[in-house]
Amino acid sequence: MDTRSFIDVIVFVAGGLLFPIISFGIARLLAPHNPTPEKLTTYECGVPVIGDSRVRFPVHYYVFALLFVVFDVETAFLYPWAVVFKQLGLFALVEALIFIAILVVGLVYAWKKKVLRWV
Amino acid sequence: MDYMLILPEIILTITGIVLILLDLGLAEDRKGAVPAVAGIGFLAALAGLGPSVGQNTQVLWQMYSIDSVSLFFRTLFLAVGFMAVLVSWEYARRTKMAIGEFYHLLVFTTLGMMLMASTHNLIVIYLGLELSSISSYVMAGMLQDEPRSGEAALKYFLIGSVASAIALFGMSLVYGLTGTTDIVDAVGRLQLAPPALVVTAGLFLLAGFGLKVGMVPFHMWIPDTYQGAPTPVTAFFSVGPKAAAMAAILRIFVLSFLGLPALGAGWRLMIAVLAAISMTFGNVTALLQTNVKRMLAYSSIAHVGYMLVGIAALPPRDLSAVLTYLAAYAIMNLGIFAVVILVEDQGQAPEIDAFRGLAYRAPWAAVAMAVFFLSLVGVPPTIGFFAKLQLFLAAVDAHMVWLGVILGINSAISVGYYYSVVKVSFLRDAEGVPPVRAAWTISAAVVLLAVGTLVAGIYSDTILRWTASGVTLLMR
Amino acid sequence: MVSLHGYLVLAAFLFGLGLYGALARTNAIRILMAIELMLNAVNINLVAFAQYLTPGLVTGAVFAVFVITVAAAEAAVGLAIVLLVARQRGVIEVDKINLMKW
Repeated sequence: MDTRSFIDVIVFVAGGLLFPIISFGIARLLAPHNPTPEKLTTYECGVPVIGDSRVRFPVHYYVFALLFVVFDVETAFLYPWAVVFKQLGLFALVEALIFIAILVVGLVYAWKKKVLRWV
Repeated sequence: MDYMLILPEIILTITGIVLILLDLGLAEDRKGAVPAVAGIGFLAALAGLGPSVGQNTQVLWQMYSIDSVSLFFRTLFLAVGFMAVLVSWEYARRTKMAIGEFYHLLVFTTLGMMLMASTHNLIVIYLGLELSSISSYVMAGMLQDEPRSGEAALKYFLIGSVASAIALFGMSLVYGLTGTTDIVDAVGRLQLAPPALVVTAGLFLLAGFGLKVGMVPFHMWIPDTYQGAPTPVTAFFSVGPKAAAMAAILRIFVLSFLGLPALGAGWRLMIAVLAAISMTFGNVTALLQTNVKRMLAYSSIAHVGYMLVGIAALPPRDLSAVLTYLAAYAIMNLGIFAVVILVEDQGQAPEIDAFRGLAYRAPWAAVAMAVFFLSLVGVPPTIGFFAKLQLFLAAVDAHMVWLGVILGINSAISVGYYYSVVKVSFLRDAEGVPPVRAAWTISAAVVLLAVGTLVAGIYSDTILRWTASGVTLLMR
Repeated sequence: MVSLHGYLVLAAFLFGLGLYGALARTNAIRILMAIELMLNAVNINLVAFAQYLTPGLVTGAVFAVFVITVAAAEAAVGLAIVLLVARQRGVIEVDKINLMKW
């Protein structure tokens, strides 16, 4: 059996495992640990912090962000399609329209569930 | 025509979208139509399997395999989906789950499972895996006011995503070693690849899919998720996604890794050892449980072990033992969960004590429960006995008699905890427990599955012939 | 020009980092981020393999596009579940979410 390839893999696995351990370990060793109240405050562009960062803000923000991420990423499928649009022709056009139609159902769902209404 | 062969998938997609729109369009008091539409969708998709019968081809640019193994799994998943509609109907109404969401997620999970089981392409396996997983994470958290349900969903999600990522890393290695994502094409090239890298890729894949089926040592999420999720969802999880992950293991491992001349024996031995540990761990831990759902969760780990016996013993025998056991397990495990749901529908937590005097409160349900337990243990004339016998014979044929013996010992251990439930149902009186009022849907599911367990056991040789016919096709 | 090995080493390290984070961290959001790291490691693998081993064929790149979109869907559902748990329990540390034995 090819033993060299096993050595390769062992080196790989060891590297993969050791990398996080070593880097976290070095950080712990080198970093001076001497906190003062100023250092423990949240860094906000150098401006003194006002209030707690864990204020409640409407869940709408999250839902908007989630919706944005999902719909935004779906365009990843449309770019390759657009590049080879002329070669693929009508068939791919129909497929893409079906794809978009299914996405629209998702949008309609969000709309009807009143997620898109800003309060 | 390609599209006739994927008719069930098309029907399910349309059903899912119709369910979303129905949920939006129907007034709150007319939502009762939603499960009915889902049920009809599953039945229509089952009928849509017609053109696929007897086919052995690949459609959609070699991305989708229509062979008898895929026919087996698609039939299984659609039937499981339909039964899930039946058992959840009353439960969903009673617990005020968001039924619009629940049923379309059920439909999409089933669709994902079908994709997973009927393709030789790693990309499609991954997409099916994620479609079914992501939908099922949400299903686990369906009870919004029940913290345990949220906890189940979170744990299922975290473990499930890690599992997907690990399996995916293995897939990327297979692709790197062979230059193709088609498993059938990859087989020949894997034999030329450096064995160490092949082993690494295989271990990643086994760990990823092992997490999904819940074999030891990747079982830790199973008890919590199964206990916390709504019971109909647990019933569905315990058979559907499990069988789908098993299908992926069959496609990937049986075709490529187990067949490697140098390494095949090692893989088989490893799977055999994992099988032995899974069943022993599952059965022994189940003995300690008082919550029936949690007990059945450990029992399901044990049953995964049984199925792995069939995979470890593959080459001399064919896939029929594993497939038969999957089908048998689906029937009997859905059945036992249907009884648990029936008891829960009376407003009781699924502790063993809730089954007190079931034989007097609902004799038919108690008898059905006894049938399911007998089948899970493997007592003739049930399908469970027959399926387990096939596994045992497969182990013996593969010169793994020790594995067969462990299988037998474990069946004996499992009597202990199954009997504890039967005992309180038949031997304790029903004092202080409400009488059983069952909705027709759940009653129909219990009766149907109990009859199925018995009838399938009696006509078992027909089933064996049916599953055996598929094997050569998968191997090509 | 970077060799294939360079990409593979990067991917392996990234994957190890992600796996470490997923197993060692208790905050659900951090675990989620670690999972994303693992998926991105896979993407690097796929794209590198596609470029070096099968030039001209885009299978690996297409696979990566699918992984990216699925990862977004997964993150969305995951965050929603975390939100649900935060609303129910007020914590998202997985070691404190233990109504059932873990």
